[in-house]
Amino acid sequence: MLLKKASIVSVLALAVGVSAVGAASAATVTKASAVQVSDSTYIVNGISVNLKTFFEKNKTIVSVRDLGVSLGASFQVTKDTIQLKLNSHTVELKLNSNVINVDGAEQQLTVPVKSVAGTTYVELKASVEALGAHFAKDASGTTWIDANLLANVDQIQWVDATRFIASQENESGRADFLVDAQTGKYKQLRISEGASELVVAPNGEKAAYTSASGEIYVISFGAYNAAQVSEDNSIKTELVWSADSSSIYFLQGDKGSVIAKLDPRTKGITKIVDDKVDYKANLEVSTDGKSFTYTVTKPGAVVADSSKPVESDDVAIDMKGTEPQIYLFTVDPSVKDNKAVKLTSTADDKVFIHASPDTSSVSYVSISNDDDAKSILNTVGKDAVVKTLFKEKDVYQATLSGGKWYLLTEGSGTNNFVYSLDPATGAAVQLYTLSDSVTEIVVKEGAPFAVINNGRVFLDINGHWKPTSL
Amino acid sequence: MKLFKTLSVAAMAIALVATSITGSTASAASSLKGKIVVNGSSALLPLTLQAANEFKKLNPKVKISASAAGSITGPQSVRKGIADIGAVDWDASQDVPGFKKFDGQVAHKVAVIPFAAVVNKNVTADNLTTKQLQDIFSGKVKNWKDVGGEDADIIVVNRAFGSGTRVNFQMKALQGTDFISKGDNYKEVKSSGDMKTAVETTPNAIGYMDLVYVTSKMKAVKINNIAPTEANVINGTYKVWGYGYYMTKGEPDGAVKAFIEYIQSSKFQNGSLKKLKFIPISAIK
Repeated sequence: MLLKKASIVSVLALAVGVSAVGAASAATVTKASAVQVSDSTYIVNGISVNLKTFFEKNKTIVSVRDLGVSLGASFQVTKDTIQLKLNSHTVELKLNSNVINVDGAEQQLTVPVKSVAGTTYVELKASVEALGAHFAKDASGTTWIDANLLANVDQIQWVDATRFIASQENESGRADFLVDAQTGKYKQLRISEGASELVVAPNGEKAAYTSASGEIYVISFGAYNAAQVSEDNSIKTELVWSADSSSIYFLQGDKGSVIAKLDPRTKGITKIVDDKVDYKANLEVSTDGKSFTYTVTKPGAVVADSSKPVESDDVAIDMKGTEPQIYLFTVDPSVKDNKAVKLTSTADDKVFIHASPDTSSVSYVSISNDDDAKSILNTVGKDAVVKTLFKEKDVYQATLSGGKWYLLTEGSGTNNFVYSLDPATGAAVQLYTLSDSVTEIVVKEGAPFAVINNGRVFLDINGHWKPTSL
Repeated sequence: MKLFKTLSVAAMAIALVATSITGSTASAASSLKGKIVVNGSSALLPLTLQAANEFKKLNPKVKISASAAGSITGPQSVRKGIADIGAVDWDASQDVPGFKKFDGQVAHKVAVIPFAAVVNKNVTADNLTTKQLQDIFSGKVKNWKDVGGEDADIIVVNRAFGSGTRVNFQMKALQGTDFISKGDNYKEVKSSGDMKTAVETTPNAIGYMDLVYVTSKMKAVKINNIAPTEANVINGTYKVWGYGYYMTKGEPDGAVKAFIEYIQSSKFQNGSLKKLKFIPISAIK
């Protein structure tokens, strides 16, 4: 999903219903000369740590050693100077000076660098930012300090419970990073220029993509190397992994007319559906690899008489019946002229279409032709009977994980709600109340709940929204 | 999910403290509504439907329907008021060979489309100059031996009037010179598909098509010694390409503007547009 960046990154305040671990929840208070040093809890690089701090002139002053060690900075100490290095930044501190040197430039502090009981202290926020690290305090009082967070993330997808792929889009192309959810540490995945988006295998070990010329590649997250797995360079509009992560299904041709299967080991391609029906999309494959669901969009019908003068505009367009419809194809060699079954024929628009793992039902957000009607979650079974699963709130986004639906919906006024919904029972539970600037939820069973707010990724870590990208 | 159990006490609220928030219009919770009708170029239809599929996930309340019946019907439909966007393989706000400009319409570039001159596999000539192409397509040169090939009559396959590919080939490859329009060795076809069949199956044939439609059963010739490749379009040496455009009646607004911005976005241009083997507009410097 495309996310627009807010030009000014907002400070996220988290009003958390559950009890919060406050940054200023002083545990131990140590008496020291004129100042009171306390151990305060911060979350540094995703880990809860205690840092020695005290307050002066409304500033939090931190032990240079505690901060540097927890951030992973390197130190060089001379007589009265400490040099810290992190993220290619060098910060020099001089005892009793209210000026620090950041990459050769002087920077003013409010409180001079101090020594208390043999430990050197410096302003926390100023030194974190001087090192190119990130400082964020939320409304619950939790302070997140991260050595290095990825910036300008356009979309994310979970790989497994602890890692996600973050993608940046820019004029020249796309860059993909494998990110550790807890620490925010990331590593760029080297894929060829002009490659399509990555499609992660269910086993979380690899992802598939098509190159600019159309061949399929698989990149392994272990070895970080990509291997070409198809010689065929036809246009492939969608890739889908088999449930066991062994083969790749795809829609072939610029009109996505053919459903084919690639065996990456042999590079062999088998056509599964070649029914000359164009504009298939939203392909999903059952766990047993025998059933396929997809949508078909019919272009409108145009009548134009080219023998008439151009100026007469002798054109008529009929867009009736162009709404996407859901189809199910089941492989069955015993059936002669086996054809796909049309499951829907309604005139609503259908988005966020996902099949149950056995493709016994396909659910989707139904958008009425009436602009003022709510968008609702519907499901259709093999019997082509459509049932409504959720109609209480206008549904903005729906995603399926671990057999449950997660819905981003309208809230009450200036917020959005998130519901989880069990399709078996129809029971919906409200999970979150979010700012209406949250544009997307990204869910994977077992992984932290992720939201995208003003182009930034936040993860729900034990009831706190951890800023995970800039 | 284990995580949710710990949160069941209360819903979490994200409140934004800073008031200076901008650029949140791409929200999945987008309030953008409307219906968009796109008609015109067949070559651009897969691009439009792919973009529509993706755009709807960001703006679920916007409906997009698309159809195609040749480039010229795009700006015609916009002028007639039956389409919001006219997809066309040339800038229809300007005069081009065969077509007058459409007054009041605004052209939005959406893709770069390279075109290739193609010959039947039996043709030995593999490079043609602009002058040779002009002479062949105007009927002045009638035998392959006069342009570096064997002694055989040239069969010229042309797209019918109204084709965007024809307009582009005439402007870029023939530099505006005219086509022959009749004769025993002249064929006219109505679509890219028919062109493909004709060139593949007719010995000594020459035609032209979008580079992406060139198959292994035909040969794309060099023009002025430059091979028709995406790389040569981008590096500026191969000149036979054009932009695909979306035409609107005046400057667009609302859902139409947002949809055009989506198809022009780097995400779409570098993603699905490349996957469909078009060249991003930003690749041309």
